[in-house]
Amino acid sequence: MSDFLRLLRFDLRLHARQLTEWAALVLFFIIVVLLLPFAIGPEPDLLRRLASGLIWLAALLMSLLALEKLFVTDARDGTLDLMLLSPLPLPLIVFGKLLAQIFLMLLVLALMIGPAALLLGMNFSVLPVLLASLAFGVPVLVLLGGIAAAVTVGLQRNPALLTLLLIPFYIPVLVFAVAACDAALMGAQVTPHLLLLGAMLALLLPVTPVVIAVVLRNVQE
Amino acid sequence: MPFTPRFANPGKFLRLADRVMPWLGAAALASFAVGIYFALYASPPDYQQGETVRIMYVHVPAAWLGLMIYVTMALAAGIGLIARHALADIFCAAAAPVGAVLTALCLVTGSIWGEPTWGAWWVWDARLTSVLILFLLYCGYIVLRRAFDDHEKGGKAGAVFLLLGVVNIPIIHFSVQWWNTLHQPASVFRMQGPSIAPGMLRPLLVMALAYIFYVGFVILLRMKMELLARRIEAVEMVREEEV
Amino acid sequence: MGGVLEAKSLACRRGKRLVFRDLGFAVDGGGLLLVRGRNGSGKSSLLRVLAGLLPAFEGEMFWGGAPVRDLAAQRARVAYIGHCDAVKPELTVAETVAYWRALRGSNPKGFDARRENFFESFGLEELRDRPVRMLSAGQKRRLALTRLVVDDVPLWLLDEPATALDDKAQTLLAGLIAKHRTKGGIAIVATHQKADFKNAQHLALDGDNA
Repeated sequence: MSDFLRLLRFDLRLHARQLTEWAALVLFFIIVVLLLPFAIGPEPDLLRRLASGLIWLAALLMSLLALEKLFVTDARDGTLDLMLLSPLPLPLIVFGKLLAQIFLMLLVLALMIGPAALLLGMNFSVLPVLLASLAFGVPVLVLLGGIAAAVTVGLQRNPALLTLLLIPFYIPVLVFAVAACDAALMGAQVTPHLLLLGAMLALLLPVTPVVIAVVLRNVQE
Repeated sequence: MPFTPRFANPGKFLRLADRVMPWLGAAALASFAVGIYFALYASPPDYQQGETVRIMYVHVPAAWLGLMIYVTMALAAGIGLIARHALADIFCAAAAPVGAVLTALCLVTGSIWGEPTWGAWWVWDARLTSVLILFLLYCGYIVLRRAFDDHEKGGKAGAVFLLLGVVNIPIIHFSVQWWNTLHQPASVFRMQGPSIAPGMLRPLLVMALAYIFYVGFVILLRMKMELLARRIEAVEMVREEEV
Repeated sequence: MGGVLEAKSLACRRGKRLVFRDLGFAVDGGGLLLVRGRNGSGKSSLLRVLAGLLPAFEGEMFWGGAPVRDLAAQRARVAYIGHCDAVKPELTVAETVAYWRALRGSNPKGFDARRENFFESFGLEELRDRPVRMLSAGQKRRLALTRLVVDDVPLWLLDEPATALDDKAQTLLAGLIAKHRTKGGIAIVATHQKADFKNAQHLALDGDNA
């Protein structure tokens, strides 16, 4: 356990020292949100209706871009070999990396949600539901993304492949998350949607590190 | 030291395939003949859509088979990972493009069907959307396998993707249906009408059978090709070393 | 420590290519095997197979006379220095050593970074708090070599360890290997340089795989 915490601290420290790269992702998010009104017109009702969907879409694209941080750098600089050679259980090491990534993504989104909601004139009753959907949904995106990143870790850099592999899995997450937000907007039941997202997370959280460990051991070229 | 390819009884499989394929081919031809006769002549036009409903006889079995092939591939992938039977991987490699083409056929015929019926080349109907996502799953699998130089690694990576995909399919189906009803409460996009008349069910089933025979034939053929290609590669690999 | 490392009819496949086949050798405790060959002849692949990172396509490995069936056990007895130094540019030298130690688990046998002379013996004393991105290639390589003494393992696999090392550092490396051998450890070094090690066995991987 203390091993795990120590590794987690290092993973977080590495992320913290790479903040300029995370800033690029933040910028991306801002640009998407900023450009939308120019693309479709500043009509407040339209923007309000699209707000949660757009924020989710931006969060999803950000997750895809951030996936590079997960195993690709480690593969390139040789740290992945050290992970594979470690006497510590590989799922544990992987879990630490996933947790660190999830934490950073949620942190970045937490900072961005306020301004984004303001710019898009989002109904503030929806905000807590949006935050909840992100809190459940973004970890799911990172976990699924982690599996895809592990499967393609030895291959040439191919962001298109990663996206292609992940779209069929990201669509249901997007559907349920936005359904929750729309339900909040219309005053309907929000909990079933959030529960579904929570169930996905609960299922993936223990399984993903094990799957990734197996994949990393077997799929290296 | 002679290098031996690590397959389980490839010779046995090849002999079996050679014996079965002519029958499958003949059965496919026969059922297509019967099916098309029923589809184009001996079945009633739809009371709403008229003759255009006949596209259903190509469209619906393609959807069924697209899904069936994927599920079978996932099963084979599971067997391949657990029992390490090499033919399982060859089956997946052979079947993937067949499934992809059938799914694409389903999408194209769906589009053609949609145009006169609803005036649009694409509708975000629950089934069509699910089939589109299935098509993406096929494409992802094919591209993923191709990205690996090493067959075995590519096969394993693909197998993981297939297994995750097959678990995802009911989730996709459920979420797309939900999404569809959430946003289109009024109209009901059902591509085959509210229910299938009995006169339409028979040609549908015959066509489905015809597709199954045809797909069986093609997949066996592709498996033979894949097996032989791998043998050639194995021999070339040894020859390169001995130079 | 000690053990006999043996390989019989080893073959390795990378992608569509068979990088070597029918490879065999035996190294006793305290032995050093120098693997020579052109670039692309499979030296790195051989080391990775011996490390348990890559499964052998054909053939078998033996340790202490028993066939190696459990790759995890093989990995546990190995220290591997590959082509890449496995360093993170954002961490300092001291942090990197701590990170590697954390990756090995809390109590790697016989290691204490506060031990006197640890950094000094590698010529890294003044660089302790410098971020790795500011290090030269030779300094990074020296840093990578510290992994050899973090954990007490019997088998050292070094892939071109002397690249970018100056004479002083090469002496350091030779000293480390010699000390490891006196303790009964085995070292396998892949190199395409002409290094002079005493009492070394040789293995050539140039299409002539004995």
